[in-house]
Amino acid sequence: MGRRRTIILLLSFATTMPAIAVAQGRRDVTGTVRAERDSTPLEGVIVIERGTGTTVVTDAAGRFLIGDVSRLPTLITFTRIGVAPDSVLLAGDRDELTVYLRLAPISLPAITAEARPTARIRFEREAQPSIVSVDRETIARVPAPFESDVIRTVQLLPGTVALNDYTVGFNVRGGEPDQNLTQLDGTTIFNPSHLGGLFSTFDTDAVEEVDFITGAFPAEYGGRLSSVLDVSVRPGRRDRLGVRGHVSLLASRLLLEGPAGSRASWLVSARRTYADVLAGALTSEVFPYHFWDAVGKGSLRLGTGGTLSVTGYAGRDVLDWLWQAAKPGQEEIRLEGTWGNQVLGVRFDQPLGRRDRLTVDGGITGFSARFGLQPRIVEAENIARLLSARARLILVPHRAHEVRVGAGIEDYRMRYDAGSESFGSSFLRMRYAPQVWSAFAEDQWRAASWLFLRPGVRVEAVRGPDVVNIAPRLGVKAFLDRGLALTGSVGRYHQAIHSLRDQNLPWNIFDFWIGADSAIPVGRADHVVVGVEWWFGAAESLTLEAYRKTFTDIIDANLNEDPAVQGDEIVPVSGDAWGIDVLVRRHWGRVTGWIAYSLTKATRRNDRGEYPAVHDRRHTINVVVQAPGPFGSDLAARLGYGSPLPYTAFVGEWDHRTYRAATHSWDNFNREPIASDDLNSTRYPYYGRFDVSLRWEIQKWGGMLRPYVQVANMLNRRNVFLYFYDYTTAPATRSAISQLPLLPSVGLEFAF
Amino acid sequence: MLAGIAALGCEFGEVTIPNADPIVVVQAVMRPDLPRQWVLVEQTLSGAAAVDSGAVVIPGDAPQLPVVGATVTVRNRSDAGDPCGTTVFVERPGDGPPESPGVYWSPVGCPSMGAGDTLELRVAAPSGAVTGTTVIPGVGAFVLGVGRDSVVMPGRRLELNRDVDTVFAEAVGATGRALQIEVRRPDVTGASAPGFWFVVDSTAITVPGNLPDFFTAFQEDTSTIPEEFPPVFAAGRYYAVTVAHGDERYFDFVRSGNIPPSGRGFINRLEGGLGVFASMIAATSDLRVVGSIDDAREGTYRLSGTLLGTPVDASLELYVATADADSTEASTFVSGSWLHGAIDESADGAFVGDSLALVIRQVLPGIADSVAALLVAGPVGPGIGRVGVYDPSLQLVDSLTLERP
Repeated sequence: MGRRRTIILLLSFATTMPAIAVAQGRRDVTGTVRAERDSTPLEGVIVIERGTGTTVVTDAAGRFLIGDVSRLPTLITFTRIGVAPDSVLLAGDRDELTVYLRLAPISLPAITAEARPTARIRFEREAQPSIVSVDRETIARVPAPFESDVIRTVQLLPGTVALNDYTVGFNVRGGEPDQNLTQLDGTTIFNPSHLGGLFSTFDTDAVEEVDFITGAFPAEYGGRLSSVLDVSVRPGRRDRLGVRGHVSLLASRLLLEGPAGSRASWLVSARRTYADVLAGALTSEVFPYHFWDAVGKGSLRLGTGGTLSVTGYAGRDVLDWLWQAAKPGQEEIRLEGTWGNQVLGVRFDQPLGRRDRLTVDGGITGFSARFGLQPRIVEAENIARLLSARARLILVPHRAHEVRVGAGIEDYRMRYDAGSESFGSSFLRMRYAPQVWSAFAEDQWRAASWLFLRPGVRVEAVRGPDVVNIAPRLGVKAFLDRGLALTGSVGRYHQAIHSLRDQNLPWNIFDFWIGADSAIPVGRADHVVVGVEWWFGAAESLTLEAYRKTFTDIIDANLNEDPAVQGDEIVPVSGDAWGIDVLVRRHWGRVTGWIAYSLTKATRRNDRGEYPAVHDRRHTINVVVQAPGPFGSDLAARLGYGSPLPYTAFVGEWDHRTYRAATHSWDNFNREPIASDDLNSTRYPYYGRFDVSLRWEIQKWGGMLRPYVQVANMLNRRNVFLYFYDYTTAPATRSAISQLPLLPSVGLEFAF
Repeated sequence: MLAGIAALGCEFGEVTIPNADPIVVVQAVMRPDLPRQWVLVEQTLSGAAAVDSGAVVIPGDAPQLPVVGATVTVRNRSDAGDPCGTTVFVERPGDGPPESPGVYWSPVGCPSMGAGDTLELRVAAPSGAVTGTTVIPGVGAFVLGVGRDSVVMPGRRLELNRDVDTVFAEAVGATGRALQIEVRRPDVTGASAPGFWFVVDSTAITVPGNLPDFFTAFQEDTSTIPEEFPPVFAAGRYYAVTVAHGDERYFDFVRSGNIPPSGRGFINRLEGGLGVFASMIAATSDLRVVGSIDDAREGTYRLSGTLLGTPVDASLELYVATADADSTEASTFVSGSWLHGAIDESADGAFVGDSLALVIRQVLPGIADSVAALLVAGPVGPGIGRVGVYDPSLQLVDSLTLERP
């Protein structure tokens, strides 16, 4: 009897185990491993979940992801040569952790582990093609003029074309720069650049990671036609106060971070250029320009298991030029300009039950620019503002389905005013106020063990033009074996705001945003992407994608617009693009980097016919290598090639005279060039550039010093920025202005 | 900013390129308030050798490429009974106006035009035809004001205190688009200096008395950024203010231009060529500009005595204009009797230390375009002093009494 009771009890226990397990639930555990000393991410740390023995390895950003972990308290062990092994007991209600390991020369027993970079895990778990992630360490090591730059690094990825060295604007798969959605922790930034596009607004030290989606992005993303650049700010340290900094020839920046109680952390970072200060201190000259920016983030772990985070950014470019000092009877003449972004975003992230998750974002972002010739001679102001709110719910009703549904609103206001108080005259007054209500639903369905399907739809109702746009999307991924998959995506995309720019200008100080209304259409693009992704080693992958895009109701600036009329400032343009992008990447190891190749053909059509887009670069190759260098350094090199870009040649000059009513005569003139009517019918020479950087890591004063030397355009190749023509001579001549010359720079990073 | 970029990059690789196909450039503004019209016909600079046309009317620097032998006509499309019919403009009218290659003159009084009329231009050049139209603007009256005082232009001379007042001008009852204001010195002292010029998309404009002349400095030399801006109005000087109202075509012409990086931007309303065919009406009035007395050297002086045997007695109303470490520029009204009779001019000069030097110019009565200039220089102080009078070769010719009442 006792034996029977025992068997019955055991059977009862066995049959109730699955129910208990289901009740306890499963979870994905993500985390970051950092050095205790300076908070730098630790790559190659072996992370073992002791319950199941699941083993993963941290990537270059120190991140790891362990899937399908029990909701029971779980012991996780961290080991790597050169660090003291450590273990953490992860509570059942936690899905995320940050671990700080102490560096120590400790020998470990041999462990066999399968390295699985985050990109590989994404490959196995997501249907999304055309996505590349770049972490902070990689960005920090890619050589760039003066200092590392987030967008300069993105410009080296496949599918992107940068028109020249002087702009951080970039064209993705035949699209325009204004078709790239740039977000900081989920909040849009209108003009992510300083110094007229020479540097991006993102502080590399504060960046956690950059996700760059070059096409066929999921239904949860809207509002742009070509790409998504999602920059995430890392949370501050939770163990102690940390200090990081960077001194370069351009600017200095300082980052402070630390815990706030047991549940919260904070991070603030600020940067300022100092050419103006140095010029004033060392010379009698005045350098009338500087920029500054600051970013901050606060994160609070809630008792509910969720997190609440707040991210803020502010930056200004300031031009203040005393043109003429005050004289008796005459005020000083001053050229003033100030422009920049302000961003404030709040994110609430709450796990719901097993694998469901609710994320709510709210944000306000603004860009303002004001220029004036004082006293009160001419003043111009542009303000763009976006209030946004959106909610996203991830539901996993079944292991084969991950359903994402969400809704949001974006309320835009843009205004332009120009005039002169002195002359009592208004030159320009424009207002735009589109409002976009959106909803989306998408299901990532594992239809078979080898097949992902991702059907989705996004609906956007745009107030202003008063249209409702439906954007269906479909993604497919079919695994041919564990490391090889075919991918395909189609989708429709809409864009309710545009940048008003003359595409033939090689350089813009910033974008002039306008919004759709009764006269300005909502832009539309259709994407078709097919490709293959192949992991041919533990850390090596190859992605090849072919795409075709069509553009409808995108715009070009109407150069004949009447400033007194709103609605005539654009001319409608349509376009096509197709191409092939190839990315071969080594994700971690002693030598990392990538080879990116893009084949592109991009055309545009207006009422006068078809012409090559100004970014119609047929071939683009970028090779980025990060490896041990000489003298104990870390070496990074970038080799770039771009086939010739089109431009519109000049066919003469004319004397645009000034009429004097008093004397009924023509006075002195402006000599102006005349562009050909055949847009972009000529091409510049090819583009080439080789950049190198060396950096050393020195342990000093309980922290880390990282001096570096880098040389941009090491071969001093004279890439053409633009041509100047002189038709006043016989015969006429043409000369070129180069892009960046050979530009060496030095700097120092530090962390304590 | 573009200059900053150019500083980072460098200029290189100058090569010769083939000549471009020239384009006919026509620039003409019809003036219903004036008896005679003219049309300037050139061609674009295309790499062809400059032509020494001997031009006297075409302004600007060489090279100039006038188009000769064109047939230029203007027709009033709104007036079927126009006695002028289709007006033919000719290069050599032979009845007065200066003749120059590329400049085509109308007969006096033609084409006839009134407010709202549409004129049609046709230029048949050897390389092709250029056409354009303009609608004649209308203005009920031009009003010029300073403070509470105003006149219908042309009208009496107004007085402007440049340190306090603002000039306003308005085209009342205007049909058209662009209001242009021009400020220049009408007297012999300042007639050769370039004047201030500005256009607004309005029927009214204000100009503060202390406004720096930002725009003229740029127009004189567009290749460099000027470091100094003179004032639009300086005290102690006369100014002529011309207010003009142009049509839509003129507004487009004046507000746009091809910018250097792109070669695009000019709003061209001509067919077959480049330039403008526009219309405008204008009126002019004078200002007498004074200033606040805030320098001990400013004020009224009396210059008297016998100059080369002629008794002179002139009153000076002197104002300091600009000052720096070395010298102080000044201007003064000169009125009274002078070497060649009555004088009412302004004169410019400078203080160096306690000494004043003034160049007093006087139109010679009965002799066209002739001006007599004398330099008056000497110490200035309270009471009565003697100043020298010098001829243009700086030879002392006489001396006068300078008295500060």
